[in-house]
This record gives sequence, structure tokens and C-alpha cells, in this order.
Amino acid sequence: MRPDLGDILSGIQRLLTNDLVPALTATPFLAEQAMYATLVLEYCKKAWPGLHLALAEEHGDLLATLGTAAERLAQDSTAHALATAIRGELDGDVAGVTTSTLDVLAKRNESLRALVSRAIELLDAGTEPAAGSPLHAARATIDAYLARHAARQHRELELLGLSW
Amino acid sequence: MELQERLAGYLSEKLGADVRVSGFARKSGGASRETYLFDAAWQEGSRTIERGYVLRRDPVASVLESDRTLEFRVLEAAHALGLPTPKVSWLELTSGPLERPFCVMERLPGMPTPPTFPAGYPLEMRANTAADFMAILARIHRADWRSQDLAVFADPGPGIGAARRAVDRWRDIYLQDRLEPHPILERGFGWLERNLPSTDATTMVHGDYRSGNYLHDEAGRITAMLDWEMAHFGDPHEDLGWAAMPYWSCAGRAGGLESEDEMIARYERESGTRVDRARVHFYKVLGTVKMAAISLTGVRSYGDARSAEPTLAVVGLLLGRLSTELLTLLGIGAAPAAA
Repeated sequence: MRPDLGDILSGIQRLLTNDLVPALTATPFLAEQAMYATLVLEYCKKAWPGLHLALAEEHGDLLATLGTAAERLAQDSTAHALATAIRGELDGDVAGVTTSTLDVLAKRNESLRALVSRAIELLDAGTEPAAGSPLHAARATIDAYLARHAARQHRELELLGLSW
Repeated sequence: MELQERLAGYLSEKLGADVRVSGFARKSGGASRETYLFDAAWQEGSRTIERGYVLRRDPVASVLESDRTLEFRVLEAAHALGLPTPKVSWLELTSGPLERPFCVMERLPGMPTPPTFPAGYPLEMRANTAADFMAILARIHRADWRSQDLAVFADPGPGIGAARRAVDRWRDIYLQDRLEPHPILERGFGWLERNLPSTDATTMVHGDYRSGNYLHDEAGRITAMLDWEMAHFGDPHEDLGWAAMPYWSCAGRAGGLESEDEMIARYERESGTRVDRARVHFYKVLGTVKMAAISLTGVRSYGDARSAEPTLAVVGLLLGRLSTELLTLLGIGAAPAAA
């Protein structure tokens, strides 16, 4: 349907750049804010088309990571309760990625990410897990997820086009 | 009444003269305070006094909620100790005169820089700034702060107290302001907990010592060190770690100025102390999660609709850079997709 989201965001950008910014020459601070607003709108234009795919990718990664982490945590008596909680959450995961709206999927990812946080808290609570132990393996699983999560965040940032 | 008129009224009352305010303009940057530059003129007998000032007013919402009184006290002390800082002329903690608390300080000569020193500036200029940057830091750390009236600042003293307090402070801010879980930052806080370093001596730490927070002249000589709102007693390595953080670096140069090795060697010469590289690393990790916590405070302000500044949205998106840098500092690299 036209105007689509891209048309609308582009229109607001044109309004800011062509009309508002030139009218704000006497107030450089506001002119700069308007320029930042166009930068953020450009990010929205680039991020929006891929947002569902990005959330779906993260969702899949979280399910796989937590599934593997739960298996490993279950092998250590101090982590049994958390492993059970994670499995309970995963068994109840009914967020079909193709049928969920963006906000529902984002909220679901947030809940799953909170479980990753709980696993990190547990692994940080005692001494560093010994190499070869189930907790050490769980740590490796979680760390690998963190690296992929950072890479996804970095891809998002690249859409902003701001670097130094 | 316009802010400029209210300011003129306030200054007239303080100076007992009719003060004219001109050139009043809000300055970009200064994300923790609204910053305005202005000139004030008034008569003292037959003489006309003209001075440049900076107004720093608390914002409705900011990336950093800091204590105005502490900043005022440390600026007063820094000025008394002969450090290149602006003299604070008036501090107003009530919201009556300008709607929110503020302070007015003298405007010092010099140009600001962005958070990384611009790569396009002449090499000699960059060399001068790099030299002054570490020389001033050494002066800050060597200064006799305890001779000043700074009882409001708690001193953690030797041991792990300084690191402990810094980690606790920024974790509390993170937990208070996050809008969602950030496992990468939590991994960072966990690492910090396990690696708290001990310091043999504490000193005043600037707390935001980096490119972007000083003024310099055309030759690159630093004329003023600004933004003391995060100053506190702590481990001097904290300032080094913050200054050398990847977030402020560009093309392998800390703060855009020189390599971390060169910066640290220069600090050692200027301060006459040995730098503990492991502690610098610890404070780079701390600095990265601290910057993330500061960013999340801004994101919360934006998300809660207390601020409409799009820069806060940009700052939030820059968390992606901080996450990558944090994992690199922790030695956690990229990995293939989960099986």
C-alpha cells in the first residue's frame, strides 16, 4: 500500500531537511537536533524492512542456546533448578515467529534473554567453572550466544551509518 | 519570560547592577547538562565590565544524573589548586530563577573537540594536545585535594574499596535504568566482580577524562578541562582506563591522540609513577559498562518520553559498539551459530 512506511519516513525527512532546518539557522542547537532526527529516521527506514527477520533470527538463536545450556546446566546439581526453569519456558514457547507481531516477538525474546541473564548470574556466583565441567560447557554456550548477539547489534548499528 | 531575560534578572540581582546578556545560544553536546554560552555586560562605577560565561542548567532528562553540589565543590577545589578549569561564579540549587538548578561559570578561551580528536587536524597540533592531555591528568592526580574542603566526597582509601564502589555504583545505575535485560553487560559486571583490583593510593579521579571534554587553542594546547560532574576519590588508573577505552579511540589512537602505549608511557613520565597495565584493563572494562549504563539512562529518558532529543536514541543504538568492544576486552570472540 502506498504511501508505505518508507514513503512516509522519507517525507518527514524531506520536511526536516528542506524546510525546518533552514528555518532554524538562528538556533543552531535546534537545527542540529533536526539533523539528528533525520539520521534516526534514515535508520528506521533501513531497519524496518528487516526487523521481523532480525527478531526471528534472535528468537531461533535464543531457543537453541537455552536448549543447549539447559542440557549442560542439568548435569550440575547447583544448576538443576535453573535448567528446569529454562526447559519449562522453552516447552511453553508458543511464539510462532511467522504468526507473531513484532511487539509480541520482541517481548518473547526479552523474556528468553532474561533467562540468559539468569544463567550468567548463576555461572558468576561461584568460582570460575573448571575446564571440562558441565558448567564450563554451559559458559561456552552462553558466551558464544553473546558474541552472536553483539554481532547482530553491530549490524543494526551499521544501518545508522555512524562510525569513527 | 524568556530564559535569557530571566538569567539577566538573576545576574543583575547577584551583581547589584543592571546586567545585559547577549549572544545567548544553546550549545550542542553536554548531554548531562543543558549548556548555553553568553556574554554579560554591566557597569561598575564608570567602568563597563564585559565577560563571557557558560550557563549549565539541569535538563529535564539526561544521560547522567549527577550531583550539582559535588561538581561545584570539585570545580572550586580544582580552580584553587591551579588546574585548568573554569571558575564557577554562581551555583543555584533552587528551581525558582531558571526553572531548574544551574551554575554559571566563566568562559575560558579555546575550542572543543568531538569525543575523538579529529584525524584531519595537523600532526603538530595533535602532538601538543596529546602531551597536555597526560600532563594535566598527572597534575590532577598529584594535586593535594585533601587540602581542600571536600569532606562531602567519601574516600574509599587503599585496597579494593575504590574498584568495589565503582562497580557497585554503575551496576546500580544499570539495574535502575535498563528497560530490558542486557546479558552482555551482565557478563561484564560478573567479570568485574571477579577481578576487583587493589590500589595502594587513592586520589581525585576526574571521572570523564577523555577527548571531547577539553578546550584547546589553535596550536592544540589544552586551555581547560571540563565536565567534572563524575569526579570522585578513587584509583587513578580509572581515568587512564576511561581515556584509553576503545569507544573513544580511532585508528588505534586512544582518544584519537596517540597509541595507548605512548599515552601510558607519557603519563608515567609526567606523574613519576608506574602504571599497572592490568588495572588499566580492568578500568577499560569498567568504563565500557559505565558508558553503556550512561547510555541506558539516556534511553530510559527517551523511552519514558521525558526527553525528545534524538541524540538519546542514537546513543542507545551505539550500545551495539559498546557490546562488541566489551566482549573483545573480555576475550570473548565471534562464534558460529548455535547448533
